[in-house]
Amino acid sequence: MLQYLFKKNVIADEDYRKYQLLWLPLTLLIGLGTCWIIYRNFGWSSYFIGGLIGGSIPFVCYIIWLIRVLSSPKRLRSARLRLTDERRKIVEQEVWAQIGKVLLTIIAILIVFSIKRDVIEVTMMDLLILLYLVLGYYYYRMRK
Amino acid sequence: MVNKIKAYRTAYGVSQEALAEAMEVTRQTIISLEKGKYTASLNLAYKLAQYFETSIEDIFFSDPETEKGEM
Repeated sequence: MLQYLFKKNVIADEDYRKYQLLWLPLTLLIGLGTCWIIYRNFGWSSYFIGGLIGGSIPFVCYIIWLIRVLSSPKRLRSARLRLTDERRKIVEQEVWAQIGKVLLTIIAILIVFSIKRDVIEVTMMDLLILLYLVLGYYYYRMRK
Repeated sequence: MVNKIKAYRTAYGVSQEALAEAMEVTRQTIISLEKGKYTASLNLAYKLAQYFETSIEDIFFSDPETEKGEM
């Protein structure tokens, strides 16, 4: 059953259903873990409440999407084809390779700058901006 | 690599959506194949040949002009 955690084992529509149903609790666990980390760092504060609201909205949208996909055989097949399509797999590999190169370049630049300075501060905001840029680029390239 | 997928698809009266459905790929893949922007895997090429009841060589062939440019 755990084999369906990996995309490469998704061949039929039922495999895709199992893949999504396996990743749903894992996604929930990751979300709860993130909430717990934020709570530990900031307590019951505006940061925590903001993070909770900001994090739960995409999760709710994900659940609604999942229900719509799993309840319709046509949508399930379409979603499965999007996951297993050979051209998309190649494009996805290229995109992650490009993202990896950019991130490695950024790390190399930071290492070079850190030689001159004692401490380089990378704030949570910087990491979030980087994360959104990475996700934005990924979805831009994968939109078709 | 050049192909005659669009010609075969038109001759069979099949839409891109229907062909994509039959080949178990997305419509974007069929579009990319027809425009020559993507080269099909052997598996997909074989499935296309079976679908159009012909051989792979009848659908896909190398274009000397394209090969010259690549070299």
